[in-house]
Amino acid sequence: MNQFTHVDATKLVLPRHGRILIVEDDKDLAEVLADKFAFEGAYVEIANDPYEALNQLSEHHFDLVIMDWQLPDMTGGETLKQADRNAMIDPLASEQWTMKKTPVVILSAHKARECRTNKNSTYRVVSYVSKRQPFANILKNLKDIFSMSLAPKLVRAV
Amino acid sequence: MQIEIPHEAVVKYMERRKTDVENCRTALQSGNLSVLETVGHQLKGNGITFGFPEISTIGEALEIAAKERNTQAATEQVDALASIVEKNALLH
Repeated sequence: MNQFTHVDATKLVLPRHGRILIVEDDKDLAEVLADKFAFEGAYVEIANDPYEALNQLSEHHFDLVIMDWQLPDMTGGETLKQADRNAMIDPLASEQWTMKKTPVVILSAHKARECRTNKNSTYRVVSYVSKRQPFANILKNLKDIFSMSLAPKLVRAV
Repeated sequence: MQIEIPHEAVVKYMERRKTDVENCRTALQSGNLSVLETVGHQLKGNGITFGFPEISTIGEALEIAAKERNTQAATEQVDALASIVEKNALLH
């Protein structure tokens, strides 16, 4: 038996491409963003509601989460809070294996001051991007944030 | 370099707006203004993104009308959205 036998390979980070979760109930925007990032080699998952997002966040590690604020049933902030709780109670949650919080960018038509989140152990809101601007601007902002998120990660030694 | 949304994505966007118009009209008949509020909010966000700032304007007005339970104003906005969708259907 070696030190890697208990590591779930599906939860390993793939630094070369990066992994993005887009949490967005606007399917038009989610799809066009996903296409753009996938074209550049990123692994992209889309969640159209908070429940799907929570499933994705508990199953996989992401280099960046793009989170809409106004979602069905709960806000993006509430979704992050629940995801944090889920990560704390799951000893094998992927976030437990990294020393770095998963960066989140809030993408919303709401104003930035309306999208405040509480302190979170697992996720860190690094930026806010307004939806109410041309697509080129949205994409550029998100790409810049994504590039910064692809820094090497520390993995806890076992 | 100009980053554009692919033409197919814009076509799909307009098809979904057509569905939005139908859903909004159904919701107006049944008095379910929360549907219009949700649609309005989405349009407010994605209109400019997809190159239709007028749709963002309609979306904002629709969201406000739905929140205020102003069915007449909401109907006007839905009709305005329908005009834009029809106009773009002819272009594409």
